[in-house]
Amino acid sequence: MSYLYASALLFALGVYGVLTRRTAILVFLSIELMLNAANLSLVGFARAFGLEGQVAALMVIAIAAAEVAVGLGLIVAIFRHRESTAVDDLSELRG
Amino acid sequence: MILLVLSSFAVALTLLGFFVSVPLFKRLTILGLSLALLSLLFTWGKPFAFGPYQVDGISQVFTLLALLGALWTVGLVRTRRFEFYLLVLYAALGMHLLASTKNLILMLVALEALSLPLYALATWRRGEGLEAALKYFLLGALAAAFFLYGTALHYGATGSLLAGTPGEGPLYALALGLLMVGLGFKVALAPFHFWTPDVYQGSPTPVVLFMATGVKAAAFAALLRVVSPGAPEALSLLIALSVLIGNLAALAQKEAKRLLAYSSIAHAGYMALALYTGNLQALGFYLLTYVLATGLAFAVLSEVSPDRVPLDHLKGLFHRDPLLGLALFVAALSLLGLPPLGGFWGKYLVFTEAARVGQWGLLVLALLTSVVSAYYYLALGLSVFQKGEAVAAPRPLARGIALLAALALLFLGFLPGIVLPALAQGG
Repeated sequence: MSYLYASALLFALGVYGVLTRRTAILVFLSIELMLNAANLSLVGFARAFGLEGQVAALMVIAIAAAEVAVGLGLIVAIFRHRESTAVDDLSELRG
Repeated sequence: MILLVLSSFAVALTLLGFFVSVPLFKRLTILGLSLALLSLLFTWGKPFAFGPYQVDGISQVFTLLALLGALWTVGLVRTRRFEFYLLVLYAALGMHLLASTKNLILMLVALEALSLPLYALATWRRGEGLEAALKYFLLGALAAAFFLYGTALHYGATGSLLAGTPGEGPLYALALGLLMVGLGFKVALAPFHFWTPDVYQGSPTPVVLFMATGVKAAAFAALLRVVSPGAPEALSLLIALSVLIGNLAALAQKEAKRLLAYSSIAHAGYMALALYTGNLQALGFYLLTYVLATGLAFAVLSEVSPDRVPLDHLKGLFHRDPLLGLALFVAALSLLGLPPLGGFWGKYLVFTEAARVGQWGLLVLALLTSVVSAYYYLALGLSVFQKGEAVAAPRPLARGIALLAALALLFLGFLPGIVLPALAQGG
């Protein structure tokens, strides 16, 4: 059971980070933390149900890597454009 | 077969892109998407399964809508870089995959395969586009994380990664809730809709067309499978919030793309109501008319300007270009659901289904908000007839497609019975 609690804690930390951090990179980091929390519980549940969960965790790692490639590219582009990655500065679009 | 066509074209075109000219590349992309569409129509009603990849009725209906959206986007866009077309092709592949599987991990892969190209497409215009893209990316990644944690809990509660596995207990309920949050972000159901107005306003209009049609169709297919044996009660809360927030917030909008973004939130609510009643025929028909009407509206806007379109800039469009003006008028009326158009039958089917299963509270709310929506849809549709200095320089191809979509909406309005059996087969 302990792995389940640990992953729930990690997930909650990730959500907290997304809500409180004000920099795009740290928000993104918190989202990665949430993905890894899910990975931990997938692997943990795999102890009870067989290998399927472990294979899923491997797939998720690959997905997360693809997401990092696009996400960091975006953050770099936005930094070049306005010399800041603070999400609070992004307020041109509203209404 | 569709998967084979789409994936082989995507891989081959990735390599070819460096050697062939961009206009030829565009034609090749259109060829690939059309071949996929043809093979879809050719195998209509015939299920096919290969491991976790299962083409059934649901997958065919929703893939059809996603492919239509992709073709429309590719046809509309003007760009000198081949990557745009390639990204649309990859996203279409992801949409087909998302609609054609019950395996939650494969769904996540497909969700990313359709989202990652769209994050890049949203940046196509720098400046505002970057802001929109970053918002879209961060919230999309958050949605994927929720979906994944839901998958993990679903696996823990049922021991299976297949969506629709029956289960019970708090862990299972939490898993379904998280999966619904993840997909709710993608279909823009309130209260997970915050990104929609900003992203729709900041992204290039042809990309928005793709988001509003393809992404919505594919994500609804996934949502359908996740909640399939009897939708949970929590969905009715999302429906009520979506139709309320979407329609009320749209009243205050002065910019056409933002207005249509809120309208898309409201329509997501009506579609979720169809899903809640469990009638796939109603959901399929509603999505079909919605895709045609909203696609038509965005197509007209993209001919007026690839950037923001304040409602004032639409004034006089009818005098400048009668076809485009009428097309926007027809699209707005169909989104509102006025009788001679396809949108009417979509709403009619959904509302009668809601009455049949006894969801009176939701039905009254949906009807009332639908009446409220008349205000902004008529403002949008009638603005083209007012006096003003609208500018538009449409190309023959864009005009042709707009005419075709407007005629299709009229056709669906007069003879809805022709496509309903085909959709029922899909359900």
